[in-house]
Amino acid sequence: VKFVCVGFVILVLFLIEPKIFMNLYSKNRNLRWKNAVMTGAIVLLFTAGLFLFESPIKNIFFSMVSPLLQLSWKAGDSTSSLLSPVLALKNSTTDRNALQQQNESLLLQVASLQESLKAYQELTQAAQSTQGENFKLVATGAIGQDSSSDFILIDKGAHDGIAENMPVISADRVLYGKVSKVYQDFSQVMLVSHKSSVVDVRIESQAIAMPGDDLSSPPIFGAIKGNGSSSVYLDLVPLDAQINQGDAIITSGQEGVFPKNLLIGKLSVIHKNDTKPFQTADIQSFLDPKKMDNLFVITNYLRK
Amino acid sequence: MWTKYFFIAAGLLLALVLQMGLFAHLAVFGGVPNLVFVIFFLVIFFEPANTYFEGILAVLMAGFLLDATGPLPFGPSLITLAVIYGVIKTIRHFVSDYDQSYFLFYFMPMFLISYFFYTTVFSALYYFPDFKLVFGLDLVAGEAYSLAFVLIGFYLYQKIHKKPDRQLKLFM
Repeated sequence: VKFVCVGFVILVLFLIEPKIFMNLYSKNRNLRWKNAVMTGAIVLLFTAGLFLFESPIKNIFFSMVSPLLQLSWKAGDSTSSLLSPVLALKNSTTDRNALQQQNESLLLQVASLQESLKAYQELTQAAQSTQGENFKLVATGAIGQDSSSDFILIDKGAHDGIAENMPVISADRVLYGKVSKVYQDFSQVMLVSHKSSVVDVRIESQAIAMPGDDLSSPPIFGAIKGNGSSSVYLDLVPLDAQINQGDAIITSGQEGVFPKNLLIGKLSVIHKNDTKPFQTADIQSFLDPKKMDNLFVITNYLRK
Repeated sequence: MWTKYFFIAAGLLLALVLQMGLFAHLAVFGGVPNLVFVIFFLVIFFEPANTYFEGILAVLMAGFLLDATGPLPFGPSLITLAVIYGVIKTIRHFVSDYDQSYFLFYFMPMFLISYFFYTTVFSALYYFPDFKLVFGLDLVAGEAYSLAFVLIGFYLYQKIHKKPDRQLKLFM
């Protein structure tokens, strides 16, 4: 059908203006409109040709440019590492005060957590044995990022067992996104920060449990939505749910695309408005471009 | 002659490699420069009035590169860039290039409008029908970032293509 369409376009062009194909190198200034039609025809034919063989063309193209892309990616990594201390210097005083407060809070938490550790280990062991989540991972790394910033190109494709919608995580179980397009040797990954990305999450309170606190409170669920430019926000949290700054955001696994208990970030600023049906919050995302060199695709959790 | 076309193609490829690798790490307010579009625009803007090959090459090469690395199938960038080329070529036909000192006054708005048009059309096609996702701070930041590069390119291009002073030649 596609070949017939392309043939039809050529035939129509030929019938409308046969000279188009004869005046390819004409220098007649009066043929300006004809040149415009000719340019349009060339672009359409070129596009149709590429469209027909999209997947192999893109795969060959990425194979050819991937060494250059990797080189450029590493240069970017080094440059941002060099610049980061300079950029961080500006916020050092604020950071120091915040860290002091955090340190005091953490000392209290350590004492509390040590008591909970034993119970937690038993629970985790039980959960693992019932779930049987032994992820099969394929190690990969980003070699480029799209100018819209929320797609990355990884160096593994269909030949390595990658398929669309497979989750992509880092070594420390931070969720980065899902495979959106697969070629033979490369794949495109849509980051969780992409504007059309939605992930069901659970909010884990980081507050220290005090004697008398209700420990049987139901879990709080919400949705992480992409905000573009590597940032995400929390939405769809009921107004009566108690969430706090610093609470951890982990996947709930409810949408069936991502496994549960993958890290996404932590709550930074909460926006609660009684006139709106849900509360939202800004998230300090754990997405780190420096860690995109070492990513993993989970190949045995494809539910959709 | 052919070296010029080679440099255009090589420049576009280098621009793509830099924007996907190096500049992906150096985002400002979430925006990264679209260097491929910057080089494409410089080529079509400075193309002489009665030649078309440079412009067509820039449309095909830049469109191919942007579509190959983008999330959509081949087509949106190629066709949008072809439209931009047609409009810029027409405007350049009516605006005299006799006095190059006024170039910048219509170069900048033309670039900003073209960039905005390209980004908006591409994003609108991608996010269709949810158009509210199209606009954001990253779009403005990316445009400003690209503007910085295109202005550098503009002065370099103008220096390279500076016409000789014919008045002076009369007395030589």
